[in-house]
Amino acid sequence: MAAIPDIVEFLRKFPPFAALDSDALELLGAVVEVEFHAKGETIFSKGVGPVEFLRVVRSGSVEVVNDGQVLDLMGPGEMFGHASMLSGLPTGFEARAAEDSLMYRIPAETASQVLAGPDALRYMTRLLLEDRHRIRSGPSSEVIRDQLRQPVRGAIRNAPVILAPHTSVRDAARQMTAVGASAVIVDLGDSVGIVTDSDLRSRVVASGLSGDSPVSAVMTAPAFTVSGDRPGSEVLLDMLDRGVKHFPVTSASGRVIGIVEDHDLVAIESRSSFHLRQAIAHASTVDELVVTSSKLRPAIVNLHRGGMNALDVMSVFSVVADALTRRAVDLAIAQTGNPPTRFTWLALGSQARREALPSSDLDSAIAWFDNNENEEPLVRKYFDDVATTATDTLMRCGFRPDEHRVSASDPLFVRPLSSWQHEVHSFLNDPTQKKALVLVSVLVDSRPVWGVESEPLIAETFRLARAYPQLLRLLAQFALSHKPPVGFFRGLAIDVSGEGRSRLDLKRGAVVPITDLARWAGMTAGVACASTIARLNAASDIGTLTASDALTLRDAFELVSQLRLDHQVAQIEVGVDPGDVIALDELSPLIRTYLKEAFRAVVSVQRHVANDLSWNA
Amino acid sequence: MPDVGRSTLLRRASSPTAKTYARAKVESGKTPWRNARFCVVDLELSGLDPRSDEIISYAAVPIDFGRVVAGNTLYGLCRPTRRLPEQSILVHGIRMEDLAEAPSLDEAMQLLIAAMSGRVLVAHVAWVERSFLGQAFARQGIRLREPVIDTYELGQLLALERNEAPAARTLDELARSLALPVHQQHHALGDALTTAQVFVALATHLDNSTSETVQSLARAKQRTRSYLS
Repeated sequence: MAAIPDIVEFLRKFPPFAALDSDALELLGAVVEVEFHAKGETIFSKGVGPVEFLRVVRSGSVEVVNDGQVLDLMGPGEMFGHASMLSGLPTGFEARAAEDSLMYRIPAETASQVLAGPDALRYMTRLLLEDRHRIRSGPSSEVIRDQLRQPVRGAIRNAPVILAPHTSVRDAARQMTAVGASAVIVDLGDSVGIVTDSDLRSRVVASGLSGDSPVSAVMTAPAFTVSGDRPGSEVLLDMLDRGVKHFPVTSASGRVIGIVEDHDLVAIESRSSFHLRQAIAHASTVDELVVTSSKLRPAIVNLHRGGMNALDVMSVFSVVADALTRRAVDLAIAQTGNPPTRFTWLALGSQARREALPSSDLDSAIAWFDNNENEEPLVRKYFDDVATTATDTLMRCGFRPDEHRVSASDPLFVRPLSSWQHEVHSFLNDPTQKKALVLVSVLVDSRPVWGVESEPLIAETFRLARAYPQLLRLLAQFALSHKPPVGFFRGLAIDVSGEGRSRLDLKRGAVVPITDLARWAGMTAGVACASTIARLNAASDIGTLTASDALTLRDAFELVSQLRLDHQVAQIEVGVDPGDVIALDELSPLIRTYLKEAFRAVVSVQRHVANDLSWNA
Repeated sequence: MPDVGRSTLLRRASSPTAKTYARAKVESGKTPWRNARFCVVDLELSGLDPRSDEIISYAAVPIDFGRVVAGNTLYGLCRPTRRLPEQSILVHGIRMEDLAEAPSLDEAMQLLIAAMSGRVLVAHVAWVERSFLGQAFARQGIRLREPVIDTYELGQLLALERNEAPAARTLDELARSLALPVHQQHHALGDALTTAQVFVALATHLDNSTSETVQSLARAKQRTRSYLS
């Protein structure tokens, strides 16, 4: 009894099967069954399962239907059912034959066994992440999601209304109504101003200004503009960061070609983070801030539901955490009195990398600018007080205290800038001193979120790291010392509960090994504070990491980030404090396989790096 | 073919495999088609005359519960006793030298009989398989079991039910008219897989208007006739 070569040959033409060796394909050929579905027949319904078969369309086509809407059409060579198979959850949609269709069905058990190799893993992960968008958010959000990846000029809907500065507010309002615009551009010659409908409400109507007043009296100028070739997701983050909802978009020659609004870029359910961002900036007491920040977690749940991927959710969460930190510092200053000198509040760790999630601690440090040593005890007392107050506020807002005491409330992390700079240079020159590697790792991931930004920043000093090979070598070894728990599937996972359930710390086991490796690799490329992905890209550009190793780490990082977010959202939804420790039996067998594969991939990159180090020794 | 009583044949059955085939419980005619087990068989021949021509290759593809079990197929060659006519080589591309090492018909039939045991035979233009297998099985002391389902007749019946022109006679045209893939033609395994898929599609379509059983599918020809008269 044998398999049919035609079927194996067909599968071999399509990913992820294309990446399989002939043994794996033979294995598939031995278990595959052919089924026929007449047009209109339901192959599986929504909410059943988990499905026990992966299906590949051989001929005809299959519709993916959710709440009566057709979300997608699968043609020959495309597979479906993997999302439910992978997650172990009921199906998120109905699959229906759009015409008479033949399909190959493969038992989940064999599919997961065969598709667990690195290439197939990468394909399946991508597919899974994309499905998530498609299934969760439906076709309308699909369009919006694409806009986040595309240059922002594609999101412009109308030619801009451009007015001279002396145009009356009344005329401006008329023109806005006529073309349905919610903002107009004011031409100022070498720059532009912007007037939005909310400006008209708050600056004209509410303050009783005459309709004859010129628009120049109510505009915001110069308006922050964005270049049309930037991706929508970046522009969206800028909007969030600056707390504005409209950006004039410029062409390469600097001409304004239109205006984008937040809702051109992001689905309605995701916009709650904007309101949140503004409510935070306007909170006038700690109590108000605490009330406002209680909406942060629900906002994250919405973003997740809206189909935003984990890396984008982490960026949004970090931007909002920045706003919250800034307001907490503002309020601490209001309580403590004016600062005796200029200072900077630095975000550290995941917040600095813009990779924070609800489980993250907000690590922080203070650097003040002062040379007068006589006043130091008083100055230090002031900043210690501000730090303690602001950190308390953040704790009340739901951010856990840092377990490693890396925080501005720790006197070690409240210092004059000169002391920080001195420390950094001493680490560069002698990285063997106690705690040097840990502190370097902490300080490279630092970003000012409050205060002066024009001074040389601490993290920037590490751009010089390339000139200090000993430091880089030790940092690499430090990064390699964090091993992913490749043995966890053999029951070696840490068990923090004592209940006998195998548990896995996703952050310690998977995130830290990747971010440490990326930090070191980024420093070899002269990159200081940056996201893990940006660091990996830079390291791959200069060749510290091979393109394939960089890609492997990026995929593993995305997969683990998505699992963390899924897990934390599930915890928030049932009212549990979000964390990174996950019980293995919560994961479907296939996800477990993929996670294991991701760990293995990280270990193999670590091995490559270790080899390179010994060669260059 | 002379019709010989089952008990007679059992006594004459020459091998344990043949005995198992003759004794195996086959689905009752009333079994809904999706609950039954079928075996699609395709033969490549040296010609179409059962008295003088021979089976040179065979394939069997099982169907369980309405699905083609593609991992459990059987394909093999048989060594003919006479030279192959040239025109048959042009059809299936199998030459005498390809068959020199192949098992004899009787050896090959042991495998095919085992694969068909307990299953309802399905073939395209089934009289060919009926007559050649009938003869080959007789040499084993057994009779081909009934019923036999013919995908050609199912195609005619569906065309009639749908008020369409009579269905194509050739397997590849019938498969294409049903929007199904055509596998390697004039290769027993390719044709058996195409036939299996055609069978599942036709039975599914026919089942939409009237519930189809093993017996009702086997009576396709009579149903077509009663439609026409």
